[in-house]
Amino acid sequence: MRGVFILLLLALAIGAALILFALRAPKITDTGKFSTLSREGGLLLNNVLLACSCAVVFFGTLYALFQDMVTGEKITVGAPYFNQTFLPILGVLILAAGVGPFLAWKSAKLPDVLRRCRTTLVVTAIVCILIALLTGVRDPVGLLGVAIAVWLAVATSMDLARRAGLPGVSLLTALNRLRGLPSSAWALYIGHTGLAIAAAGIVAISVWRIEAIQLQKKGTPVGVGEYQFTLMDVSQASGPNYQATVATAKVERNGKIVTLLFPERRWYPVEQNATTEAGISTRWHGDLYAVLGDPNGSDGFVTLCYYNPGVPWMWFGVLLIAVWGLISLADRRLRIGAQGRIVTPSALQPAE
Amino acid sequence: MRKHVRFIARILPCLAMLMLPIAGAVQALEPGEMFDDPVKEQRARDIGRSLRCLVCQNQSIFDSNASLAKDLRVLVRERMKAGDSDEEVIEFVASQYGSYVLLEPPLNSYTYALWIAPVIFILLGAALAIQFRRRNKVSRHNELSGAAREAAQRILRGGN
Repeated sequence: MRGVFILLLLALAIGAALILFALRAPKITDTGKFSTLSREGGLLLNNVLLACSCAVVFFGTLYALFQDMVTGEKITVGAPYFNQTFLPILGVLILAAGVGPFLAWKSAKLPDVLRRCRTTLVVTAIVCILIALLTGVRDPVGLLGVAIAVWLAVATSMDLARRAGLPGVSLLTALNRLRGLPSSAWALYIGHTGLAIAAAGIVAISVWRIEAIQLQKKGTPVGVGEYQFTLMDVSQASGPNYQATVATAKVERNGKIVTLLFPERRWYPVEQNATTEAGISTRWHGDLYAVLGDPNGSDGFVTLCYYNPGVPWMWFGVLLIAVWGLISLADRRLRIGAQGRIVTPSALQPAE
Repeated sequence: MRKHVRFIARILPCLAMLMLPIAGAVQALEPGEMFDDPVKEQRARDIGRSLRCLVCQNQSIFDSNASLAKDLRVLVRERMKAGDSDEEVIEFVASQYGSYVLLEPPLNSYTYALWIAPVIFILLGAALAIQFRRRNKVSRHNELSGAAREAAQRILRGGN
């Protein structure tokens, strides 16, 4: 079943891409000249980096298989490989995404770009120092991750403010200008904001994740960062085709109840298979996450309690990117272009 | 053609395998195994996260509840009690189970291609981009001369 599903997914993704390419390839022609330091140059760098990161994931995923087929040597290519190869490329891509909007179409002026980069750098540095002081993060890799996400967020909001005419105009004029921006411009700002939010989420869960694994008795609180997880009650329940052990866990912060979690252990008698259903509560800053393990003795259970910061940010950021990508397709220029045939301009003619 | 079909037939189950770890978080590490010293416990977990459970689908022995994973966790802790450093523990397990057990592939003749590949991809991408730029360079002839530029800027400013 899973194989069929994956086959269909591959057919859809690869088939659709190939058909689109076959239909459109003859129509793709050079339509303009541009200098290396320009928005077009930035988009070229964007495509190169995205293609490289795809290639790394593809190669790393299938390498163990190739190696086994060719030499018979069995190796494992796990998460650490992808963390060390994919993430640096992604980091450079996010830094570059901050600079991209600073570049003018066709030809950008280097001093102008550098001046705006310098302002962004100063603001980013201040924000990062504040974050480091407030949260106590000293790990250099973690700080680098924070800096990358903050860089993109600062660069994007500063470029948006510039487009609105700030700080030279009144707030009302600025809002009016923002309303007048085409949806493709909004796609840029919201897409990049989404990328910054998703990056911040990824950094948050790698730097600030807290886990606690223990044998927990009913009524005894377990500290997970600022939260206390208390196992309140464990009861039996039955679903359509399974029996379940459902726990009620209370989560408190500073003595106040934050939420109740209901982690489950399920037993499917037909399949002779046990599964666990985590109890998850999503807050704006992260997920509170509890897993119920094996019973141990009379009233004790093995429990796993996590605070996973940034998880909702990852989902929300990626969703923003996808939704505004779709909305940008509704840009007026693209709609008008679709009605008639696009006339490709012929090569530059000498003036006579 | 037959060869291609056979190749795809081999690839597909492997791709399917990649999807498996999604099947629910499972409780793995048991409190009975744990060290009292939190620093030592953290070390044991980090080592556990870098070792593959041999009967699982690309899951670490820390994340897996298979009995073999538990045996390996206990082995890791025994080696740590014997005074091994992190590297020595990992080396010991790899010498017993082969480099298949290492989630981070070691650098050797089998993996040179793997570790060099990202650099090759970046260089290839850069080479293609540079070649594309050569074809598409703004030629100096298209730029306006000084007088023409001034005239154009006058028009842009609204004057004649």
